[in-house]
Amino acid sequence: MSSGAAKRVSKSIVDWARFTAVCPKHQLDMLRAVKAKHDTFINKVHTLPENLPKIDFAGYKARLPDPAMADRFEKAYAALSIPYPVDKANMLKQVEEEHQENEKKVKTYVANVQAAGQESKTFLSKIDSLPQFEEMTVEMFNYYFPETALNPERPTFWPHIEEQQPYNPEFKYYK
Amino acid sequence: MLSAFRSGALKSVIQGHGAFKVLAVVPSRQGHSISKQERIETWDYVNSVYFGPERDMKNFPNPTQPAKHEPVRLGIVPQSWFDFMYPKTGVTGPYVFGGGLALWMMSKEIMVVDHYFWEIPSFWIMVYILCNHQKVGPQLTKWVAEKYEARKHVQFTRPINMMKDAEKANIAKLDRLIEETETIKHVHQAKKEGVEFQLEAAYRQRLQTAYQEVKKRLDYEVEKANTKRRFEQDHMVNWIVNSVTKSITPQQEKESIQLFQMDYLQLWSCKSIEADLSLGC
Repeated sequence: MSSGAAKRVSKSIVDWARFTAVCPKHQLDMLRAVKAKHDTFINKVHTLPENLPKIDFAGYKARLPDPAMADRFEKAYAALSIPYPVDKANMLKQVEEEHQENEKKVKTYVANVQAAGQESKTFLSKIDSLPQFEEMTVEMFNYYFPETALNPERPTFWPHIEEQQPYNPEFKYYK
Repeated sequence: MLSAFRSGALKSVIQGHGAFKVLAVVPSRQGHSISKQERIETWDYVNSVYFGPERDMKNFPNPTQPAKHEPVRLGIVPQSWFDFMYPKTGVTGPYVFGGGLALWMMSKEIMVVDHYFWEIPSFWIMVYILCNHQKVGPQLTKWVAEKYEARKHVQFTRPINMMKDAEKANIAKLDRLIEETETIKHVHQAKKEGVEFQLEAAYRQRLQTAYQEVKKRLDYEVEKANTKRRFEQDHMVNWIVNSVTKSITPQQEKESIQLFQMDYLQLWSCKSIEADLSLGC
């Protein structure tokens, strides 16, 4: 009985708790389905014997009319070599290739996300660089926040809010 | 730099050229929301103008809004003016100076005592009384402070805090997104294990089948031997019994029946004797 070239597996090393923690909320159902499927694989493996089960040849020798026959069986059974199944469709390679591709995608994605995060952090530090309200004159305030400043080239009507200006499409009387 | 603004630089700013080009880039009071990048550019530029290397912070420090006015006398006249005159004129000097100045202005008809003259002193006297009133004074102060705080909150604190919160939430969201990319590692692991477990299951299935087949053949042999032995025994018994039955002749049968009858009668008499004995007793 040879164990074959392939490596034997008997225990799952997937960290399902961590997997669930990092899984996006909208994909939890998919995760649950994957886990159920995975569990059926593991359960199937665990219902079957790990090694070739022993046969009580001594008992058979007593019962068989021809004890030499039991000996022959024993010898043949001991010499039995069961080949480990071959991954014909080469699924493992496919899985590996898929992972490589995903990793590439994730790398660019993470770079983009980190750039956005960096921009946010810069913006936070810039907010902290603003002078205090007590230290600002009205003029300074208008330069820092030009969108709130009075612009003589664009006069506004009372009550001077964007939603109720004649040029705003959301205005009730917009034409 | 501030004096430059005062001397008409504002006009060029409003027209969109000059020191503050930013206003031309970011038109004010427009519907479109300002992007972060635009804000950063604006603030960097305004910071460089107000607090850049050209700014003389020593002689022209940034004006701040003090929380409280400087000490005054008579309600409106700064204490520092009295302090300035004290070494030269003593305590009464400022009052004499004020009175003398008023008299001189009246004599030169700079300050004319007409019907409207009393409006000025009566206004300031009323202000003085109100501000120093035990009940009204603190209320007035509180009202003004509240107005100022509300304006500060609406104009500055709230929008700034909203921006900060939005950015912090954004950073947290992005961090979570980065954390979620760890999923592919687990997915890969699970997929790989799925294939491996299926192979392992197939292998174990083969082992199981081999075991069962070998065991079946052995059991068959044992069962075959047992059945054969049982059949042989049955056959032997049947054969012997049949042979014996066949070998019995009618003469023998009659004799055996007679023997049985005699035995029976003998038994019967024994029984009756026993019955008599028991009755006799």
